[in-house]
Amino acid sequence: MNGSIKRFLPLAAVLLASLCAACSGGTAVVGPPPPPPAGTFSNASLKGQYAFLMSGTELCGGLSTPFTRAGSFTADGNGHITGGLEDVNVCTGVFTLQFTNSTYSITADGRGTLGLTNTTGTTNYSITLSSAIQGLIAQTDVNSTATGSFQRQNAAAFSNPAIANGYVFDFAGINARKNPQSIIGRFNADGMGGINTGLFDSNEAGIASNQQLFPTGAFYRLDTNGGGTNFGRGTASIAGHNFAFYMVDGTRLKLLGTDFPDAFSGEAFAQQNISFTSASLNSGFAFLLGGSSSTGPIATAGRFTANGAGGLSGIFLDENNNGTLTLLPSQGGTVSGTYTVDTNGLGGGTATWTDTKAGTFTFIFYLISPTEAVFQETDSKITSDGTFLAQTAGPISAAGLAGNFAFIWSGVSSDEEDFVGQLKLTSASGNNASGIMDFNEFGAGKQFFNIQFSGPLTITAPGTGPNTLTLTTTFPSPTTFNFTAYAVDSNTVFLVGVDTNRVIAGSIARQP
Amino acid sequence: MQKTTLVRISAVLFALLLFLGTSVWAQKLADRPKQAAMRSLAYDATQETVMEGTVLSYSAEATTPPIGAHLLLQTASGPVDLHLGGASYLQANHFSLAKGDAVRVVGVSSATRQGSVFLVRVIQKGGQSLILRTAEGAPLSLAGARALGLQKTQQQGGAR
Repeated sequence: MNGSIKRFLPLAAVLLASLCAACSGGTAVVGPPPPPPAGTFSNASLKGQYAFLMSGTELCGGLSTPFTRAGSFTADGNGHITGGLEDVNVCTGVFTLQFTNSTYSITADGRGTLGLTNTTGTTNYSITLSSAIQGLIAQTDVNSTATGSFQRQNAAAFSNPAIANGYVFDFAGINARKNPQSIIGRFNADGMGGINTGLFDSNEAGIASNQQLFPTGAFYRLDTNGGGTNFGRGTASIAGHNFAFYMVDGTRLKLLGTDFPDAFSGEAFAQQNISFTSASLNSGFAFLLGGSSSTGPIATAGRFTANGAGGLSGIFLDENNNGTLTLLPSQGGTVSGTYTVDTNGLGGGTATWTDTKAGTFTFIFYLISPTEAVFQETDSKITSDGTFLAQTAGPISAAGLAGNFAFIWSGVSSDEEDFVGQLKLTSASGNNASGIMDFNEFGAGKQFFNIQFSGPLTITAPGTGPNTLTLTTTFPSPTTFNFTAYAVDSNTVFLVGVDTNRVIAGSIARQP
Repeated sequence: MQKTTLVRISAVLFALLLFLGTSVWAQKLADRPKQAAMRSLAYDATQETVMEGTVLSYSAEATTPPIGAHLLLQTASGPVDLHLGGASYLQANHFSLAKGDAVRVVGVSSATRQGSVFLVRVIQKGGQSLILRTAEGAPLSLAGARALGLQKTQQQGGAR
């Protein structure tokens, strides 16, 4: 998500990683030699076929311009990428490109680099594995930066019948009217390429559509030219938009919009086959949203408790609206809220809360299960989407969080900046967070590698509300990132930046 | 009854059921709550006004939010802080601003905790005019080159 605000905060590719679980010629800045990485990862950890989805910014006509990429790569467990396929939606159109041989490397801490080579050249990435099954990825080219995630594919599931029953989706991007747009909803796949019972809510430039039926003609189908069976690639029409998709397996699809000049991307998740009611939401939830407002990028994180009967309590929220911060409860204010779940049992719903000082905040959601949902803000002139996940009952403590985490942050300062790395947390008080990361400062045309940082994670009991994480790098120049941290549980934490000179958000995921 | 008639009736019934099904389905669409009141920094197009003045200063990266390019404009009623979105969008459109320039803007005034800021949708200087926001108020800098309709050959060098 930036020398001036170049774009919105397309967090979907990053945030959805929390669910269920260019060219050379820029300036590469490498930090001082770090200590030898510790851990059990190696090149052998990345083996098999992986589906990926990224969104980011490319340089186009001198302008930072949103783009997306989705695809599949095959790693041989020995440092070689042996093939793959991707779809890209760039400023010149939508293209399907085949990968040829390239290389990757993974160090013991799960960090690594990856090159993907096609007929246009090689794109370069920094990655961090959260396990052998999945990881986080940031593009580190001078003319393109992006963030996203990848998951190991199950090739045995590459068939139309494997895509069946209910799915919940979240797409975000820029549309042909040059407006930011978020679309969330759900549909039923019939296992034969047909889609029915499709519902969606669209938010274009902060104007909500209300719930809509899918237009006629919705479908999905695996490619029959080899792309389907080899890479899990298919095409689909969902909520009136055309997509190329890549299957992780029957429970997860990564989708890239092909209606150029629209540039949408997102994911679809198999929905639990139950009839959802208000009683389906009966715990604490942490949420993270990213998008844009009338002035530029916006990122929001927080938590609430749903009582199973339409009431919300324990509401906290940190919103960074292009440098303007709103924290709930506001000083001297109190927050109360309600939620509804649609009576049709399909998992759609609304959440509304009001702070006596800061006003009302409205959202819609579609439940994947009683513990996870896609989430969209519907306040006027805000287009922002993400997810909420059931929180542990707590308490969350520094001791409980101690360990190693893969992380990814995406944000905007003067231009998009994307970060990926490893964070180590200890149970010590004070300076208990440290780590190492690679990042792409797109506006400056600089890519940074092996940059170390440290700082305190301060948990405020019981830990399920807002906590603070302050991380400082000393090389090449001192930079401090101030986050509010909302823990989902001891394995996943949502982060939203609360500095006024950048909008940044992301998450951390525990490594084994 | 002949088979063809049965088929026809069956088809009519099926069509009717489909129609009824669609109708019932349509009635099931959730009625979402109306949007909350305008939040600060929201672009309310119904409140658009025109402002003229002389540039006191231009900053591509102002230190006060909202992040982005700001213009301090001397108007008849005093200095006004203008937010222009991404500075690179101005640069890519060869639209430069400097102290003393006479400009005319169309936009909306919005209150923030730091004060008020005027969100500019259109800016004019001399014979040059540049649209900075969509009709809905979204900064065109968010769309980058897609807002310019740039097509082939415009992508910067490098692999996709």
